[in-house]
Order: sequence, then C-alpha cells, then structure tokens
Amino acid sequence: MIQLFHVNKLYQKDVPALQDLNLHVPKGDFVFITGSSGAGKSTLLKLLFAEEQPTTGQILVHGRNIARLPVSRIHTLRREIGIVFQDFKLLPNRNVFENVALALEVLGMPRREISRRVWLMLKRLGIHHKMRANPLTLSGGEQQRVAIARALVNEPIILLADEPTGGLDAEASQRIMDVFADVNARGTTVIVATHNLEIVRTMGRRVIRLEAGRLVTGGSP
Amino acid sequence: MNRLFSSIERAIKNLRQNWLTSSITIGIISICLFLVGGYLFMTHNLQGVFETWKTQVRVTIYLRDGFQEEDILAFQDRLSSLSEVHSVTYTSKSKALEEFGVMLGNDRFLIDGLDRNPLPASLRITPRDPYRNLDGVKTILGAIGDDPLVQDIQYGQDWLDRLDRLFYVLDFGAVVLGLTLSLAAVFIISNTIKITVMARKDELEIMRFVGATESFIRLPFLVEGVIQGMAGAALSLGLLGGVHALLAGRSDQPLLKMLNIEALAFLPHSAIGAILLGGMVLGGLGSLASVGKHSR
Repeated sequence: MIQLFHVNKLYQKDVPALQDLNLHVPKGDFVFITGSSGAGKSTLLKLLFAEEQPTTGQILVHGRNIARLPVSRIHTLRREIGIVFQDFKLLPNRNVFENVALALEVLGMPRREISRRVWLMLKRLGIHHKMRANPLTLSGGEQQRVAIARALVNEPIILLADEPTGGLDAEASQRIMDVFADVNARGTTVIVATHNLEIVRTMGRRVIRLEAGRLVTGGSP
Repeated sequence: MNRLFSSIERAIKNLRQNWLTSSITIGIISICLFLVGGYLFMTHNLQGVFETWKTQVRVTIYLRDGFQEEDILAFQDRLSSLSEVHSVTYTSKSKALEEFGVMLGNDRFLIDGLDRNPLPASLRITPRDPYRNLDGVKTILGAIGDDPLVQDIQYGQDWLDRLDRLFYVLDFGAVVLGLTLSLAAVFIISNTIKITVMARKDELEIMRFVGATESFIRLPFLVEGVIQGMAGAALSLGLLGGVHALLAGRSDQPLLKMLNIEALAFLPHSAIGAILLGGMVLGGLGSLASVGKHSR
C-alpha cells in the first residue's frame, strides 16, 4: 500500500531531514510514527501527501510512484488521502458544515449529495448539532473532530494525522483516537505522527520510531 | 458550465465576505483607469484642436506684376490639378488692395493717394489633409518648381516646423504616457489583488490539501478579478463622466476658448470599451498572477 525505498530528504545542504528511509505500511494498517522534535515525523507525512518531494528515493502509494508525480496530478493523490493537522486548519469564514463540505466541493459533487454526506459524517463524529457554528467558537477537541470529518468525508483510503492530539486534554485525545480506530476498522489505513507516548501505549498499535531522520524501529509490519 | 456558475457564485460570495479589501481593490483600479481615461479624454478633445490647426496650413504664392490674367488662371489650374492640393484661391492685385483697405479701416486714407497698387496678386493653396505638415508643403513646393510667375512663396515655415515638432512630442508622449500609466496600473492592481490573495492563503492551502485542481482554485479568483476590474472600470468611467459634465457646463472657460473648443466631447465608444475591457483583463491577470505565486 505505502512503500518507501531509500528515501532521503534534504531541506538544506548537509542537513538531512530524512536519511535512507525504507518503510512498508500495508493496506488497512494503523501505524504511529514517533520520535522527538525534528526527528522527521512531519517531513515523512509531507512526503506521503506530496507537499514535499524526496531528494532521492522512491515512494509508492497505492502502486503509484509519487516521487515522480507531476504537480498537475497531485490533486489525484490528495483525493485518496485525508489529512489532519495539529492546528486543525479550519477556515474561520466558513461554518462547520461549510468547512467539511469543502472537501466534496472540490470534487464537483452535486450539492444535495454533499449535504447528505457532510451531515452523515458530522453525525458519525457527534458534532452534527454544531454544524452551523463558527469553528472558532468550538473547543479544541470539537475543532479536531471537524477537521477529521473534513479529512474523511470523501472516504479516503489513507488517513494521515500530524500531532492530532497536540494541545488536547487526555479525554479529548482518547476520543480522537477512538475515531481513528473506528475509521481503521472500516478499512482505512491510518498513519498518526505523535510524540504522545501515552496514547501510543494505550492504543497498542504498530510503532515506527524515527531519530534524527533515521528509522530506528518498525520499518516493516 | 456548472463549474463556471459555481465559480461565479463562489467569487461573489468571496467578494461579499471580503468586502473591505474588495472595495479597496475596486477603488485603486478605478483610480488607475481614471488616469488612463483622463489622458484619453484630454487627447480626444485636443485632437479636434490639432485638426483645426492643421486646416490653417496654407501656401501663399505671390505673383510678379505684368502677367496676363489668362497666364495666372492657367497657372492656378496647373496647381489645382496637383494631387497634393485641395484648392487654390486667386486674389488679384485690386482685390488684395481692397482687402487691405478693409483691414486698415479708418486709416484707409493711407492708401487712397497711391499712384499705383504696390500689392502683388497671389494664389493661396490649401493642401489636402495628409499634406498639411512641413513635409507635405515641401512636396507641394517641389511640384510647383520654378515658374516665371512666382515672385515669392510664404508658408509660415517656422510655425509649421513648430507644429510638426508639437505633433511629434504629442504622439511620442501619448505612447510613453499610455505605456507608463498602463504598467503602473498593472503593477498597482496586481499588488492590491495579491493582498487579498495573501489574506486567503490558508483557504488556498486547504483547498490544495483536500485535492482541488489548480483550475478549481484559480477560476473563482479569476472571476473575482474580472468583476473587480469591471467594477473599477465602470467607477472610473462614472468619475470621468462627472468631470466631463462639470467641464462641459462651463464652456465659457478661457482655456477652452483659447483652444477653440466649443463643446467638450466625452470618450468615444471605442475608448469606453477599451477601458472596460482593460479593467477586466487587468483584474483577471492580476488575480491569476497573484494566485500563481502561491501554487503548491
């Protein structure tokens, strides 16, 4: 499903963000990427959704070499991937419903179908009663659930999350993880970058550990 | 088609949400186009003055005394048949004296005691339109050649020379000023629109993350730019209309009288169309250029 072969990423000369990374994540897996700050967790995720290109090496996602993906085709990859960020990246000039609907609008889906799917997704995540609210009026946990709803509403085959519980309390963090477990149980591959070891231990899933851009453990299932 | 309607809908929604920055953009576009339009307005009205000046270009041939009227009329016919010549008017010696007397008015007695008429007969040539300049007059002089009837030729060489230079400066100035104003307009407009794009870079980033195509992202911005450009152009034309109405109502102004402008004309349809189209193109291109810089 996701394979990395000898991937290197340099942001500046002689300062590697990732070094000779080899990785395999099968379809339907649930994986944590851990490591201290600057270990390369976020860089790895950025490579997977093609925000960054590897300096060398190959990355296969769903059989497609995204290291050679032209810029004009990146949107096709991102339509198969849901992305969740620590800072939620919600638009303050749109309400909850509109924020989630954005992911379907870009696909050119009919308005009625968008409404149906957004409603069902918000209901599934338990925030349907807030669908007319401005995201800034919600708690951190609620905002993150809106961001997850946006990431999942177009039914991606992979969900990437970069520090999704950062800034959330233990209860809200666990609730987010429960959502991810549920998504994974429905067949979506989930990759979560975090340094919250408590969550990692509680979930008991596969762990990929990075240190200074190098893989330490967990390269294969 | 659905996509275009959806883009127009999103563009209008965005314009309403960001009404303050949109208003500033429209205001700046209108100021830029007002300057360009003002220049066109000025040159359009002065064009009439220049044309009037050009019609004043004449070549006067003073004739030697002692020739028969038939010789003079034959010479007049020869001149009239030149392709560069529009018309030739003959003024006989006696007519010249009579006109001079009228000019003297009460001092007419000064010429009453003359024992002979000192004024020469003359032929006044009005050149055709393309020859109403220094080069054109020289062409006519070449065509006249040497003729025993000709005593002297006057065509206001200094004045014509100055007029030629004035036209050159105005033509050159039109190109330079037009280009400078247009470039300044493009620069200011694209930077103004860039501010609105910058203010929405989070939205652009998120759209890209959820798989929007570049055209999906850019089309509403393009439509927004075009709408802003059109609104700015319409506003600038409104302002120009106001200025025109204000000036047209005061046609007794000394400057207008001096320039021999009887009625101020508004911009021709072609210039109005060009300003509207220019505003739309500038707005659209400014938007695209700004969004393009934030790709990927």
